[in-house]
Amino acid sequence: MATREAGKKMIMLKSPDGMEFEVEEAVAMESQTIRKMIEDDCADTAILIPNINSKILSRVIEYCNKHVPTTGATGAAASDTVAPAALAEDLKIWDAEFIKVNRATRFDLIQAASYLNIKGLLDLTSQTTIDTISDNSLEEIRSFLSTKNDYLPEEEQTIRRENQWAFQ
Amino acid sequence: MSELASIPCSSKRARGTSDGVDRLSSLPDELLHCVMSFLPMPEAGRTSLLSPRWLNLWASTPYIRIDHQDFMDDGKLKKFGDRLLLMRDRTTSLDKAWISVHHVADRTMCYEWIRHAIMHNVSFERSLRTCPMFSNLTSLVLGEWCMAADFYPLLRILQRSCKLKELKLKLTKEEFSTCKDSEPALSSTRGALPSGSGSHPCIERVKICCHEHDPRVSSLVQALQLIVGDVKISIEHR
Repeated sequence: MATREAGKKMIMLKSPDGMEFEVEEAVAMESQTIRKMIEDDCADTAILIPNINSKILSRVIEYCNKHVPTTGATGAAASDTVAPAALAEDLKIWDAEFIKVNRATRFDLIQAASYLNIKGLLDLTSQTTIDTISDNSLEEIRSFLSTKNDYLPEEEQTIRRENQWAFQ
Repeated sequence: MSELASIPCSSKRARGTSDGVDRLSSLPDELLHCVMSFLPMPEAGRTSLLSPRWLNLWASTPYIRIDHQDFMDDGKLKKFGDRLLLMRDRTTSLDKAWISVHHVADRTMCYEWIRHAIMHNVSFERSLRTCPMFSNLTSLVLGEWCMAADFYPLLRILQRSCKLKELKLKLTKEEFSTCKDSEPALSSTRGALPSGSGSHPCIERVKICCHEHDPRVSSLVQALQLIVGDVKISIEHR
């Protein structure tokens, strides 16, 4: 399944629902999990990604495509180079658009980012989750997260009392 | 074809994926800790009220963050820092400690927190013990924090810097209301520094910049001699 286009090594990522995504190796290696597989020579040219459906996997690949260092190098050094300010700003705007997804998709992305070990994506999804719930009341957050309040009123009072130091 | 190792997907197993289901709460602890790390620490503490799932999550975060910006006044900051360290689940590892205070006077309590974190958390110590070799480091300048925790972090870093030639320590503290001598030495309660690289063959120059009457200098010099041996330590008054 390996193909070479313009000298770039390609990798096939397969989702459990049978979709195949051909990506440059450098893009796939934005995932530290996949990078480790490739570096340890444990990867064929096709890698099955369990747990992540094609809809989420395609979004993850979209993210990696955008965030892969433009130097084209595959070494670790390439990802360490600091992007110029303009490029960083561009990425920030792009990220903000990218993460405008519904909650279910965002939680899927959190899990995918964690599983594939893509720190930038994990930070982005986590930060966005926090942004959407900060400054809301307890009841609003519970309702937003669909968290069932399993505390009895007296239990809640006890927790409030015991954690008084955090509520000031 | 290769296949990445499968992980249990707790959200699907536990609750399904339809709307109106608390997907966030069904994420594994480590992911919730990751999400929580974007909250100011006091708010992370408040998540205990959400539901029993969240009751003790804040206490097992692999990080602590005590930031003066999150508090109205120093009293609240101190109370929070003290309680946080007291209530933390000490069986969990502590990978990151972020402590930021504003006033000079806050530094003493800040040392207490660092000391507390080191003393009460094995992993923190362990991570210092296995801290990386700084094998290209030749010159190092450190500020006040080198005095923290009875010099343990300072000495540990020196032990791991095999090519260090020049060390400069800049002490800026002006108030000496609490003297280090009145505090018990941490090293005696925790045991000696890990052995293996007791002395430092490469170091050539050590310079301490401090105020003229800083009473802490003698203990700093003593501690440094453990590592640098007979190398001359010059002291510069500001």
